[in-house]
Amino acid sequence: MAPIADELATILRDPAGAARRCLDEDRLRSLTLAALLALAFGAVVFGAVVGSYRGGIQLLFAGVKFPLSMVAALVLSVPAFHGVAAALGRPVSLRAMITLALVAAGRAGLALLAFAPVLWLAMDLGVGYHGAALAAVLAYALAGVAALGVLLRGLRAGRHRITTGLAFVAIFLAASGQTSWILRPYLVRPQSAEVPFVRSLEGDFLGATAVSLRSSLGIYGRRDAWHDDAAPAREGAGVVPLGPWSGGPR
Amino acid sequence: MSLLDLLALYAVVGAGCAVVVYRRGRGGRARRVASAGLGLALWPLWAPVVLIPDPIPRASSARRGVARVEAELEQALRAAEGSAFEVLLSRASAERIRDELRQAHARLSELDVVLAQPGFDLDEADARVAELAQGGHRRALRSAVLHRDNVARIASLRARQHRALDELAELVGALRSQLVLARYAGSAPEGVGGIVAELWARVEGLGEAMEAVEAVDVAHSAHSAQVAHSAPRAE
Repeated sequence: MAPIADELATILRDPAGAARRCLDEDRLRSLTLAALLALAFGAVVFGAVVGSYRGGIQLLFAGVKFPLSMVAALVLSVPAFHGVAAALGRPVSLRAMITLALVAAGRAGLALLAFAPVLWLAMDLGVGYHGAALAAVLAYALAGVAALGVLLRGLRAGRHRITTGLAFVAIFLAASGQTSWILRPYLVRPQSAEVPFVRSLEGDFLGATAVSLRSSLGIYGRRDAWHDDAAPAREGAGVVPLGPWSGGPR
Repeated sequence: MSLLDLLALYAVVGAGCAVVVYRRGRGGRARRVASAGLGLALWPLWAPVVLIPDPIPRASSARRGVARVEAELEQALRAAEGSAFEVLLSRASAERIRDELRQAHARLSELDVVLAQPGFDLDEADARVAELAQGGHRRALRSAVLHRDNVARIASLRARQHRALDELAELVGALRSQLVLARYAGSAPEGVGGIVAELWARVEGLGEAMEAVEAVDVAHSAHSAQVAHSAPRAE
């Protein structure tokens, strides 16, 4: 376990060194393994904390779905990262790019692990449903910033660095948005009697985002496809501004 | 194509990757099974990392060694230029030495590539032999011992070649300082001539290092074959 512990310390404390090792293809197997472990453990714990808002089986569901969603997003994004980097004149070998992305995600996993107790405490102190969702989104965003730091270091200075970084962010946001959308719900109200592992495949992430944007501006339409199936019966004709995190009755 | 179809396709490709990862994996069975499991579940991320061999280190110690010898040689040439020692170390002879150095480096790089491939780790090959000896798999043990010995010979060749380069670097450094000394302090040209003669001998010996190791390894192989035969009987 000692080498893995060393690799975890490198990912956490020396992101520049970890990025350099990725590009130099220096001992990639152990670094990849450590990054996967960090990602899986951090996401499982954070997901379980989010799921603990309702408790019961949702604790397990969210604990499984968080890492699953992140890994699925990486599987979809990394080949695109590789292609975009090559197209913008910054070619990186496929295995170097994979490890770089995994190290970035592993660092995000460690950041999520650090935020998990804070979120848990907030829930324990009785923060509301929307407050919990906001706190979880904030923690996720900060973990994303930690990951982005590794990716940008891996791009090194030179032409198209910012463009490449922005392209990476855009690709990952689109991929992770959709994978998260497919695996929703994560945060479920305690009153919900039953919780599905995943909701039925209706609509998509971009459509839901558009609905949320309209709702935030006070423009409400008819019930949208991505909305909780059981909600209209409880709410009458309701159209409710819910995000991908949400689920259960209001 | 539905999500389930995609998942089924993903699983089929993953199963193929898992088999390849297991067969080409390093280390003991548990480690290879774990690696194959990751290959099954995360093949787009895990398979390229474990299946594509490591590249030659861009600034390997061998490369640095050759660069050092070349730099020392250039300094020695400058020290000899315009002096009575220019006949002993001319530009043409220096170019020949450089050619030999490059060939030696190319051989080292090839050996590095071979040793970086999955299954070419000496410790792991040893562990595999021990594992098979314990299990009493007699035929498999013989093959594993042969493989382990071949890996040991390749590693030995590499070490020998590397050592020869290091010694050459020291010698060229000594030649350079001797030339400077001879030029400014009027030392006898015999000292320089002796070093140049030894330098040529070492340069010629760079290619022979490979052959010399072969003789040593023949004896080692014979001993290993004995071990391969005796190990199952000991069970």
